[in-house]
Amino acid sequence: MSVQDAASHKQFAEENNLNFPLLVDTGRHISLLFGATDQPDGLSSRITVVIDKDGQIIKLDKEVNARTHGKDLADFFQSR
Amino acid sequence: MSQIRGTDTVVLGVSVDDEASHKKFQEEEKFGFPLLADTEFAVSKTYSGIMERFQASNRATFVIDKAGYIRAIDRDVNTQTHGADLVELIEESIPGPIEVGRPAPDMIASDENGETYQLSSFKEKKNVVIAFYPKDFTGG
Repeated sequence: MSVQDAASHKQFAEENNLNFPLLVDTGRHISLLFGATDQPDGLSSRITVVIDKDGQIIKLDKEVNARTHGKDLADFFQSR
Repeated sequence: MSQIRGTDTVVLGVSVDDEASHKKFQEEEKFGFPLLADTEFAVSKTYSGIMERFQASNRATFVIDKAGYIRAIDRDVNTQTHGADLVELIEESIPGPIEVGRPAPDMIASDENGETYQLSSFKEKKNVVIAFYPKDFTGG
């Protein structure tokens, strides 16, 4: 989820072979709702929110390491 | 209403009266929030509906969050207790802080292919990871 538009997301997803949807938040409303807006220039902060099947927030990561993020998430789900 | 000021909530009053009427009403009542002139009935038709008999807006209150979601609708407004009722309604309906152990606020957004995702549609089916990031092409 970021504030760039669908065209930008599409290119980004194609170049990086991303296998998950990139959601568009051009109005920055959802970033604001989730507190992901302490970034300058109107961008979203790098924050990951994990929500369980009951709709509860079970993890809030404000110090995402872009390099190890996939593995960190996999480890998190495995440890539950 | 005074309890609402100082929070991050803005109150907007709407009726089909014109600006001059609102101005006078404001001067008499000193509401402390703007009164919007819906003389074309456009807003009222969309939100509250019109009382045909009086050609006026129905008394209805909508609570809308920062993401633009309607979180509560009160169509049974008690003018005597509306201020206090509203404070309660906002507290109940507007999502609280984003913290572990709290419910995630519902959200809806579309992806790079125009497909729509609503958080609540995954309830009881899947865990969801929402990863906010500053910008495309910056390392995911």
